[in-house]
Amino acid sequence: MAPAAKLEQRRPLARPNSTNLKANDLVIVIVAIFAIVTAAWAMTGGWSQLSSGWSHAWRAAASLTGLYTSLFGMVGLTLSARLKTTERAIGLDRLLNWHRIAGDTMGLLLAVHIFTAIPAEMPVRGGFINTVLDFTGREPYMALTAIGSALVAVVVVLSLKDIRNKISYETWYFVHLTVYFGLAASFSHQITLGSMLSNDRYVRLVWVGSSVVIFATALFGRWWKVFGSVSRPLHVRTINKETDDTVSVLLGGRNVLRLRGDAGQFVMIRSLVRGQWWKTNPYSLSAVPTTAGLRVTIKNRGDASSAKRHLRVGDRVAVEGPYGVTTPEIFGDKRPLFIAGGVGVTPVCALLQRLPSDSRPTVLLRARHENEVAHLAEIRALAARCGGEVFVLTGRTVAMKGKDPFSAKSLARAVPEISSCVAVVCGPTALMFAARKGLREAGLAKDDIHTEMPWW
Amino acid sequence: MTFIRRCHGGELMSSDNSSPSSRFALARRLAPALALTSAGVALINVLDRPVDLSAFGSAGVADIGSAADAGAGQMVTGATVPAPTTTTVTTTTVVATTVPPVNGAPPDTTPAPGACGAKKSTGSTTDIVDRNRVFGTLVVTAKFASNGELCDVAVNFDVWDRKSVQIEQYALPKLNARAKKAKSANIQGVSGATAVSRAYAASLQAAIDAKPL
Repeated sequence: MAPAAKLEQRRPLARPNSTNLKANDLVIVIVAIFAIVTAAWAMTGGWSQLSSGWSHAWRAAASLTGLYTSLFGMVGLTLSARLKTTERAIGLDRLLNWHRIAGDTMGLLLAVHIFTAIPAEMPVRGGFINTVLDFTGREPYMALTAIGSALVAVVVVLSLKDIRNKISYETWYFVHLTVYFGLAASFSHQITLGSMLSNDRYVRLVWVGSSVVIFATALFGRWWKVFGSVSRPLHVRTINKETDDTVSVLLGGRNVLRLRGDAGQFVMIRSLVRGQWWKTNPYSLSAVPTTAGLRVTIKNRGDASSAKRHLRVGDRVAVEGPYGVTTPEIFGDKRPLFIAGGVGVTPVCALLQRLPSDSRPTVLLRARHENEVAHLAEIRALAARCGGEVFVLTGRTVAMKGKDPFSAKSLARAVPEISSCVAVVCGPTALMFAARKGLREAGLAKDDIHTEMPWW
Repeated sequence: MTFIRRCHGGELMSSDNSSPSSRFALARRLAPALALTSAGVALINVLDRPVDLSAFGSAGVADIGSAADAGAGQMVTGATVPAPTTTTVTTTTVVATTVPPVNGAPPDTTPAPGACGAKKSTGSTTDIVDRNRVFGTLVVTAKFASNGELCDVAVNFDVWDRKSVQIEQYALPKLNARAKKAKSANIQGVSGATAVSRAYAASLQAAIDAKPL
């Protein structure tokens, strides 16, 4: 393949910064924040209220769940800000997966908060109806709060997998953005009604301060990157047809020098052409990013593919990223094993370019037909260079008559010392699950299986 | 419309069966979010009717428990809030003065000797404060029988938020009843209203200390 040969003469881009932060460290920080808030709640009377009669117990429960709701909101916001450190620690896909979990939990706690706050306030507000009326407008700031939490609830419900899959991604995404408004609107009642916050000036100061900081981080951290990518776009340099339905696109230009990236990462691409500028799509880099540009390989899905129909040489393209933690460092001195299906070969192609010549990688490719595999010749050449092997498993899954190509047994047959490998799996969701299961059964540690599942 | 979950290997994130190049593609996708937001803003404007605190008599003053009938204290309020469900409390009209009606009769500056209220004393204006937060102030007016015994208590309070008003209306009749029964400021506080109980006791003690001879 000519482009790859040409690319290798170029200087690779600076690698992304490494971080010592691990996923566990992030979990510890989050748990610690929750512990501090819980302790503050218990010390300001929450604990003793719990055991002093129903109405007090309701109130204590309402304030604790209220605190947790907004904490989960803040955690979710911080995660979605895609801060460099957190992204380097766990990768964008896990970051956004955690974001989703935080959001779901927040929705659940919001419901608990509402249904504990009402019985807590019913005795002093004169019954259910009066409490609800107070909470939806008669109490200062509560109209804001009621509508804000309704928006948050809508966003959480729309993000449930089954519902989200029914609407177009962008519709869902734009509705998702209203959560900023929802969270901001429901903030003030925490101060006016939250007894823990309203009673102590210093607690209040810390709470308001950190909320403002987190909100600003989320807003600017997220949107500043978008702005930067749009104001410093790359240009489409070349478009090559790889197979019948895939093309590789080289994105270059002066601004590429601002990026740091490595093989195995992916970028969020926004074509700055009419009718497309408001959509972003993730694509894996299919070659080591160099000063010549980033190469991505794009599959045309028969229907509304943007790539071939909309991208032309010279078009401006905004690029966010590169993101992802599946960089060549993950292999250490272990043998690399790649399992890829369909257009999932792209990161494999890039990673192979960065492997040392004695690494002896094994590449298992899954496709209906050999000529549907993009960059196959390139992959074969790269694997041969470092003493590796490439197996292409073709044919339809139904035609295999129940023989699972990714069972532990078949994997062990194809790869002799499989338990001492580090595996990278990329492809359709079904393939990723099957391969991960087989690899686990074949004796690979969880940390040695790398998948990136963009489930956001 | 469909949403296709994809690997970041390059499959498209979203795709539309309807024509993607439609001029209204963006508008159609933005519409739900915009509708939701504007409906939210509109609803907030409709719903946001915080009760004006000046509706609680003059600056939220309510005169509580001023009647002499034993066990039938009067609670006076101008609020639209329902009175707490204390059966001994009846709601009448606003009297935002410090001179309470006695036995429903017009205020009498010279009560009959021997009746409750022969001597009167007003306690200090005390902050209702819990830790660092001040909710408002209250002032207790104590009435004494001619033998010098505490026989009735009236309270004026001035608090700054609606929730405090409700707590006050709930707690002060109880505190009045307790003070009348104990005939001193040594009373048990109302749970859930610690701050106001403390302020009440302090102000009442000051009123008793200032008892005219």
